[in-house]
Amino acid sequence: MNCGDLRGRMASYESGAEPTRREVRHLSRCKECAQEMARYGLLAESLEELSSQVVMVPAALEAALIAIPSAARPRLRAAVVVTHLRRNRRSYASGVALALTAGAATWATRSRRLEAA
Amino acid sequence: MRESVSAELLERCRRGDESAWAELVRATQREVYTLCLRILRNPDDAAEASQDAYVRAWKGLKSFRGEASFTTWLYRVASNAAISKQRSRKRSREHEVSSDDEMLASLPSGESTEGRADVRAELETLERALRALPEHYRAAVVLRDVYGMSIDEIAGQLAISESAAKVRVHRGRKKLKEMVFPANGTKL
Repeated sequence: MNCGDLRGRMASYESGAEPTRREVRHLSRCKECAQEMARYGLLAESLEELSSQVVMVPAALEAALIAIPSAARPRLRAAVVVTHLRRNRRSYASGVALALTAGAATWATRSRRLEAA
Repeated sequence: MRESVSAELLERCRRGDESAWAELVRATQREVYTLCLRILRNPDDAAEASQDAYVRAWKGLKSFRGEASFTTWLYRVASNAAISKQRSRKRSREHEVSSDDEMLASLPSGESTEGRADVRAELETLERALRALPEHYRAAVVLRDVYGMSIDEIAGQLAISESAAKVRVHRGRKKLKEMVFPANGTKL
């Protein structure tokens, strides 16, 4: 194993993974590779530590996040109404057609009576 | 995520309890916003991505079956929202530079690193280096090494193959190492 082979793979090591026996042998002999390996180890630990580092959330964002359910409600209701209308469009269309026919018939009957009078 | 979200709190949220939702937001918002900020670097974009994430979370709560922990699920939703935002936004170089300063100003204060100024300085160095990473490497390294996502999850989030995700993590780590240890020094 040479330094180039080992260093090429160092960045792929998962955090906390143990090197193979061949790699350990090389690391025990090569101070530079051992240092490089230590740098990657330190980097992995520090990156993991970053997960506990959080930033303050802007106040306006917190308010907006909390308001999501109430902001979503009208849209959800509108969506429910639209879905209902779509699913029952034939029934509503028939109802409207029936009402128009009945209205037209009534109007025609009244017109005839007026003419007769 | 340090804050835990109880099953009882989740159930109340599923039933539409808005006070429970507010409690859930307060318990998780800092982690979600920070994740978005780490991927996007710009506070306004991070705020928008956080909102998108919570809207998706609110709508998806009823279908959340608890196969993974809620916080892990929320991280996935947040990283997905941040990556979608990253794809859609158009950025200029000036925008990137100014957002560095804004993010630096919003770095965590003493709360999580109380009395450990040296550690804070090191982590700030690392945050700076992360921000300087090219975008495609940064998202992969942040998701893998900071948030512990698996390679296949990252591949899914970034809409790339698993081998491409591995390459991005590998190259990102390498670049990051070169930035953090520029003159082969051993101090972070």
